[in-house]
Amino acid sequence: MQPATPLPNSLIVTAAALLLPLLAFGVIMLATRSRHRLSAAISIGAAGLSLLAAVYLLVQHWQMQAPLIFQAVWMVSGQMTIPIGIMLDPISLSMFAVVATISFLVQVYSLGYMAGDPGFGRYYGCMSLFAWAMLTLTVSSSLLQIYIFWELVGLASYLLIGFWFDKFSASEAGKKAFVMTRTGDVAFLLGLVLLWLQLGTLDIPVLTDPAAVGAQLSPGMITLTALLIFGGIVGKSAQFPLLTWLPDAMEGPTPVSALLHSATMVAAGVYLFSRLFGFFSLSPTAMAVCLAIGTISMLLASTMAMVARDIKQVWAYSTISQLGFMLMGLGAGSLFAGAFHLITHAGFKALLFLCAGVFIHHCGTNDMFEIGRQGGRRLKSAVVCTIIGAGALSGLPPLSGFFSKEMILGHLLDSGHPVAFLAAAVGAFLTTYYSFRLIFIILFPRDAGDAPPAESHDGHHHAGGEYSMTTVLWCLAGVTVVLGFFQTPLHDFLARTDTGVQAATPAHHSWLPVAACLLAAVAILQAWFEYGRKKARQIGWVEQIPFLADLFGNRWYLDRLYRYLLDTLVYRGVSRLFTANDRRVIDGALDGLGRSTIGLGRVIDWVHGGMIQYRLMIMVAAVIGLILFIGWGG
Amino acid sequence: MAYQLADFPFLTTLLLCCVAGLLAILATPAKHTRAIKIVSAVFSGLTLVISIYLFIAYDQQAGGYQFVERVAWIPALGIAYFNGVDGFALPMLLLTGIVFFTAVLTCWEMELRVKEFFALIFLLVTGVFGLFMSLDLFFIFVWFDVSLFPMYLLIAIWGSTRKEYGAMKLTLYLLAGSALILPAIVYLVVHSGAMTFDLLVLMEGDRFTPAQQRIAFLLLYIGFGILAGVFPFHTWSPVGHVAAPTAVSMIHAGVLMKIGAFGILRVGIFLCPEGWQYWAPLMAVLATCGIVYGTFVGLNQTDLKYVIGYSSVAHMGIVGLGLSTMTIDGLNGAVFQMFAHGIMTALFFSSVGYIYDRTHTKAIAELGGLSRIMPRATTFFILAALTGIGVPCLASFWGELVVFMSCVRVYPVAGALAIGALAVGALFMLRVVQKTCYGPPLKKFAGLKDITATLAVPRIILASVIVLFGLFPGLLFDMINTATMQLIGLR
Amino acid sequence: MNWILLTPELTLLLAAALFLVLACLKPDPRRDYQLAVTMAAFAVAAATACATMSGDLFNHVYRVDLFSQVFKALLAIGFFLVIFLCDDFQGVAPSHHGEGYFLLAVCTLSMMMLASAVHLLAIVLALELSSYSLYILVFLRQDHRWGMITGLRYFLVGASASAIMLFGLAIIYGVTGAVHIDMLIQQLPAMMGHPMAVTGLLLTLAGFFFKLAVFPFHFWAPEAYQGAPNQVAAFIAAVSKVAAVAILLRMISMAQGNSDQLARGLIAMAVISMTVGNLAAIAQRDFKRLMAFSSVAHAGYLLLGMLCMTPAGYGAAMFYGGAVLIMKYTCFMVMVRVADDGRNLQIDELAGLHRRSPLLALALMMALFSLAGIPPTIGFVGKLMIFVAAMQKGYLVLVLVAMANVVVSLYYYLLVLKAAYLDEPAQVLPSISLTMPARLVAVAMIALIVGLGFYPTTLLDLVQAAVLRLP
Repeated sequence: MQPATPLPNSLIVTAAALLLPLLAFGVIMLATRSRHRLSAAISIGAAGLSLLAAVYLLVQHWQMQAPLIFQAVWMVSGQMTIPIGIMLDPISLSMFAVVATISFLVQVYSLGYMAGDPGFGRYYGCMSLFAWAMLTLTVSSSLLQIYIFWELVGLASYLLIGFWFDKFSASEAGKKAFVMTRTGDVAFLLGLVLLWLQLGTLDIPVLTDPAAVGAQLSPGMITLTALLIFGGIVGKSAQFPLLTWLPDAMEGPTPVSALLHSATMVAAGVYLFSRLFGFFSLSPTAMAVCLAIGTISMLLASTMAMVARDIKQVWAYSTISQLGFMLMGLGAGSLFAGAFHLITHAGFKALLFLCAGVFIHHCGTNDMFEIGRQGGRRLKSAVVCTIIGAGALSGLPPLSGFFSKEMILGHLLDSGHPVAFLAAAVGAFLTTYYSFRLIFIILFPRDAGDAPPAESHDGHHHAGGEYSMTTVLWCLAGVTVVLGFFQTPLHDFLARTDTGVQAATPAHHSWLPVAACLLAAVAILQAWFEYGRKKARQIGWVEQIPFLADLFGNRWYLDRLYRYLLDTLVYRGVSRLFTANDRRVIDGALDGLGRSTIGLGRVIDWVHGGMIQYRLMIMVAAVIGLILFIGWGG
Repeated sequence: MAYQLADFPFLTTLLLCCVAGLLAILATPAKHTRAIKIVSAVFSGLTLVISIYLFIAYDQQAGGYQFVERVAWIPALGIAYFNGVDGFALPMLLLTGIVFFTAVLTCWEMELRVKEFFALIFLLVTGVFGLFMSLDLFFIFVWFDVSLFPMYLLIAIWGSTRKEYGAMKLTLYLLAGSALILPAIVYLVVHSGAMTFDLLVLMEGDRFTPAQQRIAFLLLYIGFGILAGVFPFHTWSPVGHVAAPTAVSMIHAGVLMKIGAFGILRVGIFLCPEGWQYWAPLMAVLATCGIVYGTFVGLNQTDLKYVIGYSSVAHMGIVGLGLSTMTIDGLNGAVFQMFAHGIMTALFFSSVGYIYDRTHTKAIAELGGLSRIMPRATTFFILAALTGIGVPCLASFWGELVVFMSCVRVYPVAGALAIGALAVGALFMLRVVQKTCYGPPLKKFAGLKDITATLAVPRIILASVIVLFGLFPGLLFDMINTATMQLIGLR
Repeated sequence: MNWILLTPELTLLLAAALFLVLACLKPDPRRDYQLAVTMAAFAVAAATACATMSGDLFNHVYRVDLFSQVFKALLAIGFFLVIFLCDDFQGVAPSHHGEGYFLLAVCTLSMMMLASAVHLLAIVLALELSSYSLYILVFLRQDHRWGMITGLRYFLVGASASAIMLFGLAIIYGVTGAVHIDMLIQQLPAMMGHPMAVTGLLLTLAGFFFKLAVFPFHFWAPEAYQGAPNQVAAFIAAVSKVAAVAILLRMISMAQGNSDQLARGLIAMAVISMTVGNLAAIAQRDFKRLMAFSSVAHAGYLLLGMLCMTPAGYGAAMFYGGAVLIMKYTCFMVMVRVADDGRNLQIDELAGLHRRSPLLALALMMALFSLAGIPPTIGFVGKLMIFVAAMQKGYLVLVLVAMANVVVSLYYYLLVLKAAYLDEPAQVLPSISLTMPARLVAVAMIALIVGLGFYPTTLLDLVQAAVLRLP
């Protein structure tokens, strides 16, 4: 495919949209960190402008045929040149729009949520940093550039998770998140380097061009690199086995969870997969692995969500499972299904988190039972939005989730992976179950003290904050409701992405939507039976089986396992071993050498003491020895 | 190699700035500490200005050696006072200028035997500048030792933990290294067939048989490698750095360790290409060991400076890895990494030094919650840590990336291991950041002041340099490239 | 018979005679000192004036050439410096100052003759003369705990060394039937394959090795240094070494370099000397004893230069001899100034020197670094020359061994430095007051050490020219 000559103005717009947040970050961090309102204004202004830019670009290029690519050489070293550039094509544009929208909305929301926090300025600084990194990641033109900003969003997430670093758990969670994603990135970087050495370039158009790749890479190498890069995806999108960092990441402020850890950053993994869809689809193995990993993560996470009491934890688990769901869709070979679900999910999951934020903001607790007891249902808008979001999440028509989910299911059905399809169905069931479990718990609290919600537990709450928060909620709710009906245009739009593989058009299963809805209905009924109705003891069927409750409650013991491995292998094992070796063997040998030299010196000095006769004898003996040495020495 | 002499002796002027500063300090009476500090700041600033000018004025199209000065010195032995800079030397000069200036500013509050301290620092830095710009083996060795022997007093007098042990160990160990370098140099000179110490003349043609090159390169590699913190000759580095005062740690880890790597490059690789080829696998193995080893040992340390000491071992391992690849990219990355690590570790030590001056402890266990108490100071610390992790858009990322690239091409296993160490490296740095900066603020530190403007200046300089070269690595790579192309082009 | 050539010797002879007379009169330290300094100055003047003369005297027994004259200049300078150090000749009873100066003069005179003598008997005479005057100088030590015993031991070792040397001379004469260097030069090289000749030559060298304190003839050194008055110790450590270098060069050069066996013997002695010296020095607490062992080590380095048996090696050894003179003298100067009552100085008594007298501390530091061969000092250039010479002969391993020794030596030099710069004295001591001339000398020494370290060219050329006079 020929990259069309880039329209200068759209490039300028993009560049501006990218650089403004960076500028904001710099200004805030260097100058206005201490002046809260100003910092917020700057950051939100930047975000808003990039949002406008995104919309403009979307309108401008709605009919685009070929991707726009603009590249400049950033660095040359010997044989390798490192380009930096912008690549605009349907996928990147839509992701760009999503990121811009969500980050703008979340920043507005934060005005209310974070009000009065001592670190307000720093918060907005980090938000801008994230916005910059994430936006640039979406439009990157080469894999290396993606990696660079991939790391930077990781950095932003580290800083934001550990935003309240006084709390040990927060800083610990931040560290955990960074290190775990970094572990995935090691594989990513390795794969990237291998790919680079083979192809000599990392430009996305080349990578997604089957001819070019197939010509230069052996199938084995393709699979290897694909799997390595997939490692990065696993880390970033919190898939099995690297999924445990995401629930902990909920230590961060709720808006952060909404933006980074549900809507955009964690979705970057899925985005990368769809970005390189053409490349991955060259290796059936990689696709199969992707499908498998997606399935496992989806099931694991949704089981964990069934027993969680922490509202944010629930949504976190559901994020993992939904990401797994997207990967399943992609793995099943449909770019659009995955991408579409990515977009819709970004909307409703952000909505859900922000609602959770409202609850937490008012009730000062994450425990949903407690929220219910404190009369969370009084917060009308939040409750309604939660229901809308949950509906979308569980794929109820006519909400956006319904369409995307149904597509994925359809593709799974066609793709000839019956197991995966069944798993997806089960997952869908569980998803609906736990989301409505949450809703019912909040709506119908036992021993409900219907006292008006306690005001401002952490002093965050002040007038004005409300409006910003609720407006944002309603905007997102609106998006959630209507987005689904844009399926066809979006499909046409995304279909123009040059992935090198023609998207398979799914055979339409008329019964599938009905079945899905029935499934959801059953799940809702069960949730109602266990949590909603008057006499319900609000104890799920899972919680009644101690073993399962224990297993799910402890995240399938994955965390314990990793902790144990880290302690025994890294800290107590290798690290201590090396340290001992350093102290004892290497350094010990050195000091030993020194000591022995000094000791030898003492001995020789002793020889020089004592009676003169002995020394004369030594002297004569030495002379004779010398003569013998030169006489018979050779 | 062709070169034309400079019309104005900038390099000598650079050296004379140091010497003049030294004399000025000696001339100032010891009790006027403030005057001494100002004098040193001025002269070190001058050196910084000159080195920046040189960096800019260097003609990258022409390449080769520029600003060359040559005066016959000891004709009997073919020794000449012969200075010149190329794409390898200039970044190092710039690095030295920056670190020197910032180090002087960093110890603005020092009060103990100020005069001697700054005098020794100037002496040391004179040696460093001299070594980077010298093209004559005799002077290279002379400057090498000149930059080492003030170390003993600097650490033993102004140091902190186990200072006399650390000072003696460091000095003896490093000079043991020079005890291998001198024979190697003499060996090369004598066997060159032309009684001359002139580096460029010795490079011409194949003067040395492969066997000779192997012997000489091994001696040079170990000799300089000790200073470069090559595993397993690294144990002086943590001990010495812990013992040394802040400014000295900055200069030592920031610049002196680079002298080691630079010496391997300038003398070993320039003169003994075949020796290089022969020993490259060994270099790769040792470097990889250094990276993995340093990272893992660093995980278990309880003293802030030990942590940084071991991180230096790991990062210098990356430099060694780059040198061992025998590719243009490897060399570029190595030199870039030398620069980046110099700045990074200087920032690291200066922030740790500040923390130590205020809290009077370097024990990680006793620290915590500093970000609430001294946010600005800890920001620098965290920035340094992130650079150490190799976060993009901070200088050392590019060096590591390029080195890994070329390394995976030449030694896939070593490359994989080195890249794998990144994850542990992140754990290792973030653990320190978490334990010192994060967590609830501690009572005992409640009253401590945050960093003042004067003391912030040097750290701001370092931080901005890190970001500058992190965003625009091309500035440095283009410069290094000129020299690398020439070197690899030679064969 | 051109007496002008003998001016330096005659000046010293005059000085000796003068002090012989003065010693019999009523002692007056100040007068003696000033007189001594003046005479020494004259000697220096004479020696430098005659530096370029050449000729043979006493029908070819006594040769005056650039080689000998350079050494004489060095000797005269050393003599002057040592005399200058005697302003308060502590450690020697005031009544004996006269004798002291007399003996110093005689000793220097005999060393000059040693530098010029080309006839074996003349050499022996000169050597014994210098040795005996030194024995007595050691005896002059005021407190008898030291003087007697150590003097006696010094004498014993010296006597046995001379015995061995005479035995060696006998063998040489037996082999060649020649006693004049020129004739030996014609005959010896041919016979160098002959173990007898080699043994003879080696044994002959024993006497000079004794002077240079090369293993195994170094056993006198530690105690003689400790026992002798500080100034005399300085004389032994700094000046007498120069003479030893001179005569050793003459004797070794006779072999004309074509003797592997001799070289092997010398290599063994060199390596053992430097190793033994450096190792033993580590354990020392007494400054003079430490210096004694360090001069054993330096004897090893010097020998390393000589055993190359090439002009480069000879030149290196000669240069290094001069370097040793300067470095050792500086160390002893500092010691004499610090131990103002002529006692034996313990190293930890140097504590706080950097505050008591920054100048002396600096001088000590430079001297120590120079001894350790750290650039930019004269000691480094000397070592470099030696290594170049040795490397030209292909002694890579030998050079590595020497460098290893340098590292070891650095350890104890740094300990001394630590005492001077780091340690604080138990009770606060007054600052050391130096007379203006003393300051000048100290500064001059620092200047020489560093200056010649940075720009040795002129001295190197002189040395190279001088050794060309050797066969």
